[in-house]
Amino acid sequence: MIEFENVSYGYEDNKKVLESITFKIEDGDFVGIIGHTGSGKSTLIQMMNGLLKPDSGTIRFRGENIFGNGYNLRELKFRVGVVFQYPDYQLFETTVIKDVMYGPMNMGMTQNEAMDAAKQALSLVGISEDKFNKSPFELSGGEKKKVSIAGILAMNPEVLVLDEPVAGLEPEGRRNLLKLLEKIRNENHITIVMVSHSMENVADYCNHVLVMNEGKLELNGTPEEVFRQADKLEKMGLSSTVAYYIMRELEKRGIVHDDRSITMKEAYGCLEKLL
Amino acid sequence: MFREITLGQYYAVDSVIHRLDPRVKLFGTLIYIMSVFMAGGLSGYLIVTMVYMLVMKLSKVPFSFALRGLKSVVWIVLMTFICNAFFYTGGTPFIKYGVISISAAGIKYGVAMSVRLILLVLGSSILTLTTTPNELTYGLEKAFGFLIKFHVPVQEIALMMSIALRFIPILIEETDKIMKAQASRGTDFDTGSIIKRVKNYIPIIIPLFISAFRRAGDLALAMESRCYRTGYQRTKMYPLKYTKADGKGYLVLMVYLLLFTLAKCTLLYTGNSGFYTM
Repeated sequence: MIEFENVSYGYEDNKKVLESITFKIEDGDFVGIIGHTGSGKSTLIQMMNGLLKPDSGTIRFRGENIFGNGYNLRELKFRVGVVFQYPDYQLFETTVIKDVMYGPMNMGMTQNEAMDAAKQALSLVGISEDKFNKSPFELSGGEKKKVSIAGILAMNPEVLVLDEPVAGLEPEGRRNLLKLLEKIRNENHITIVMVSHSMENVADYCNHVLVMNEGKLELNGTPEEVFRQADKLEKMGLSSTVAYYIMRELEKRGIVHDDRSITMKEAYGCLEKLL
Repeated sequence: MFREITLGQYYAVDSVIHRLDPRVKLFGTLIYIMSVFMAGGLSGYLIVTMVYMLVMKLSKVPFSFALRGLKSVVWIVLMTFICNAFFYTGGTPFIKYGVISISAAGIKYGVAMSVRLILLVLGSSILTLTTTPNELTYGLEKAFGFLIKFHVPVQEIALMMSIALRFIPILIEETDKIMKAQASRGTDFDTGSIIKRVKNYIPIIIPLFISAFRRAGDLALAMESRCYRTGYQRTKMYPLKYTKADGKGYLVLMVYLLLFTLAKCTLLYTGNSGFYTM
């Protein structure tokens, strides 16, 4: 669906921001991108909807080169929706509903169509109707985040890209938001790409993990493939999941054998069998 | 999108002029402006131009870079010339049509006024070309420090200036992020009528203002929690100190002012119009 082929970009302190990145995202994937601050994650996701143009290499969306001649980059932004980390950079209207309608109106929908799309998106993210006519600036941090996601969802994109969607949310808000993303993926058939700092979140929800380090794509595979390479992750200043470390320790002490769990749920299942 | 914007016009090289204390440069700018106003006629402007060229040479700033500063005033210069050349009523007009009267004296006056304006802009831009905005703020704070006695909040004004300067790069970066976030929702900055284009910037300006107010509030809170109070004598981490070069700078400026004034008075007295025609 989205393909990066040998994508390189920019220089900062004599180092490439992105260096020859190649990967492929399939329809219906839930992709997690992990990596240190400054590893090139944000640059990477800004390329997915054509905000940044690579210096070399090709990016394809559904087989078409997005920087090819005559490709409609503006329309691409409606098909690949990017939600930035801070909702404050996006909310500007007088009411929540008007703000969510902004994207659909830009697509050329009529007032009524945009209103319907906005209402649908807001109810999907769980913003109740009594808040539709509130000012977006009166909302709590978590609600602002949801409204900013609804603002993108209302454009009915095929891919939803989110930069650290759960940063700054309390544990319950995080869980709700991640469950919501899972629901959007399963029920609305939208491919999801999420940048995250939490190994647990990525292991729990994603089926495809990309690990970035100093502008290079170091690991690319299923969560199991990636999180079992704890040494490599640690060398990059990252880590594997807590469940992985617990199970390795138990394996060392001879309590479990041939275990492949990387999430708490899997570990729990394995340990339950022992009891 | 906005990264390439450079702040102010400071040109970073090491030169005698760059190393001077900002107060000397402020004083120098004042003297220079005075001399431009005193000068008239060809010889006066020639002297001022030569002084300008000499200082530019010393400052190691390329002339082409300094010329960029003229871009913003080119219309004012043009208007000045047109107003003077077309509506000057002193001389004998060779073309007269309604209120418009063009005379040799008018054109001469128009040229002189335009040259004066260009010299003023170019000359005073040496100050901003060779002094960082922060140095300039400290310089102004010191130079106008005596106003504290008249209850002018000099330190507070200086603080406001340096905070404003400090925030410019932050706000530029923020604008970039906001523009990207809105572009992702289909904001189109490049097409449509002027009114439509201006409207397209509302989704950028509102989040920018909200964020600026939030930052200002946070900063005020942080300063208060570290016991910032206004109206106290504050010390500086790098206080401005005069060096020998600064002394020489002042001396050169005083001599220049003296010579210029003397020349002008003599010529006025003898009635030589080469130096003073207007």
